[in-house]
Amino acid sequence: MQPHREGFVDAALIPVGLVVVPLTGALLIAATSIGATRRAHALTVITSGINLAAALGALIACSDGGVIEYAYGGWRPPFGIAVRIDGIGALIAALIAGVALAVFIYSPQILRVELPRDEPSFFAMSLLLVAALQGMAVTADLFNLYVFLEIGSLAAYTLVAVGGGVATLASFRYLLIGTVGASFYLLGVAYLFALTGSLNGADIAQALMEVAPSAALVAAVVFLAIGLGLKMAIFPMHGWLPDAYTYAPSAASALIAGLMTKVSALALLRVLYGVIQPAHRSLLLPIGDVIVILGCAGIVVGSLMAVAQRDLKRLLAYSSIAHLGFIALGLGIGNRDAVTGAVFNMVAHGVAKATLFLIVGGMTYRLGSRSVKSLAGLGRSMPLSAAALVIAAFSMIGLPPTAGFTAKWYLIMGCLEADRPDLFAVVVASTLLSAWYFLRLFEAAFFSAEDHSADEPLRAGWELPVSMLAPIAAGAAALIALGLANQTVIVRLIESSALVAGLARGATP
Amino acid sequence: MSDLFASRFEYWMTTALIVIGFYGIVAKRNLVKQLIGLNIMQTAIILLFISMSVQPGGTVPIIDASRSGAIYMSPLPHVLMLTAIVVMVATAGVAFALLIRIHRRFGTLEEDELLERSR
Repeated sequence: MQPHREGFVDAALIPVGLVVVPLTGALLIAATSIGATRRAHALTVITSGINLAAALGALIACSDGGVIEYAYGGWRPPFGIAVRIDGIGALIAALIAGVALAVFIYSPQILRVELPRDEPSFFAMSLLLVAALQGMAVTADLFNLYVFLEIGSLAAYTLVAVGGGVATLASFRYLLIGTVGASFYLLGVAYLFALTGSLNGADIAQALMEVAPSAALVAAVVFLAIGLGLKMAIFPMHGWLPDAYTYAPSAASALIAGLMTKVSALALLRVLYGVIQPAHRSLLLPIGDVIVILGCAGIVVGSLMAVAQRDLKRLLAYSSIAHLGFIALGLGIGNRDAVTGAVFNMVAHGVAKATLFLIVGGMTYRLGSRSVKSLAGLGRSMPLSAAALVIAAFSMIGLPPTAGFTAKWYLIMGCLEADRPDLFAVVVASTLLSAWYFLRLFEAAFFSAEDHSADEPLRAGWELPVSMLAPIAAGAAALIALGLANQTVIVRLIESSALVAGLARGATP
Repeated sequence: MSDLFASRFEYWMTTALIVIGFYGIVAKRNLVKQLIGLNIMQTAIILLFISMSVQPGGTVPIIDASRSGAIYMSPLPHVLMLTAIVVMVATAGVAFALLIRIHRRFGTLEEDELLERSR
């Protein structure tokens, strides 16, 4: 790669650091801090702080179409493994680092309740998860992506399983389905490797120019889409998600729900539009149509199921399925605005969902319950958390000035440009449904006749401890900031990246 | 047809193994049997990769100047699958740990009984 120096740190090393720093942190904790909770927590916060700084550096370096590439050991692709981030990759890397830091600052208090004495292992596993997710965000190599996908998944299975009891069962199901997904992905990679003899994304895209469309290529795309679809829980491959999110410890739920599925969505985006599309646009059309239909089904089913839930975590899990449907819809339509909306929704939904899970964790911590009913009087007993709940829910529904509004706006523009008013109708209908179930929460929190705010809370104090409240507030603030600065993010990071800039506007994807 | 079978023998074998493994995951009601199905499926994909590296009459990929024109096996799929095997072993390890936990907690690994007892 061209030496690409900025300041005294070689910017080309940023993507490597994004992976290596949390990985080192995880190993250090596992080696030195088992049984030493405070040291483990300090190490975790320090490493994820460095990670966030590196991600912000990547954001700056990758704005306005910048790209950072680095080939391990100087072996350039197709012989070696390369990492490569563009604006979208940097955006997702920043999402991962930001959400992770917030969750890690938040977690000591609640872990003391939910996982006494196991905190260091929890931190080590979470950092491993963060390292793997960053690896998926930065890698340019399809097989390398598989390895990071599996490292991250294994960390996620254990993080779900430490919930104990039913959580172990949920985790085993997640493991079965997740590994099947990864296997399908690997099968797709095998087909591409057989067709092109390469594993580097850009290199495969180049080689595919010479390859005629064939059954093998269709099989490759279908297997890759099924594999990543299982990991990102596109309907009807979402069966593992509600149980896994519900029974995991609160901090783990926030981390997994906020990040895991988004990074798989990023991988799907790169495979479809970075690897296959440049050479075989027409082949992608029917597959895109199927993804659109599944996305719509996920939106409708997820929203309807969310309305029926009484457990807040389960409600959030089903609303995740609906939002992953939105992302799939955008990726399936495949014109520039729809994909921009999908990418923006990865960030918006990642932040909003992590914030909501942190708030529900806070309720569990302070009130000892996370049912919709126990929200009654939340506006008085935990006013700041309730305010953050409103902001995050606004983003989930898609109301201005939050980030969710921008995401939905671009998605709707994409639907209309593609001449698909039927999809527009689905998006609007699901917005109404999500407004219904979130307004139900507001009603309980602020206007309920029942009022538990006078009840003695499980833990005294006016609100949550500051270390729990600050990450929640930061999440809510980030949602508004993203909503207000949406043009900066979209123009400088998303639309300037080659992946999206190469997509057509308008009806023909 | 028999020609097609003979010339693409390894693909038929891996396809059969993947289908068997997938059947085990979907149809079996015992968690250990589901895990065995999963392992069969992963192994099939590993075999598929390895079979792609074969060159008829090929030899070990160590360049030997004294033998010009030698045909070499492709080393890359082997290296990749070494990693994939590690992933598979790690997955199996985590899965067994989970199964032990589940058995301790619920006293069974039959899915139907687990559904009843986890309520």
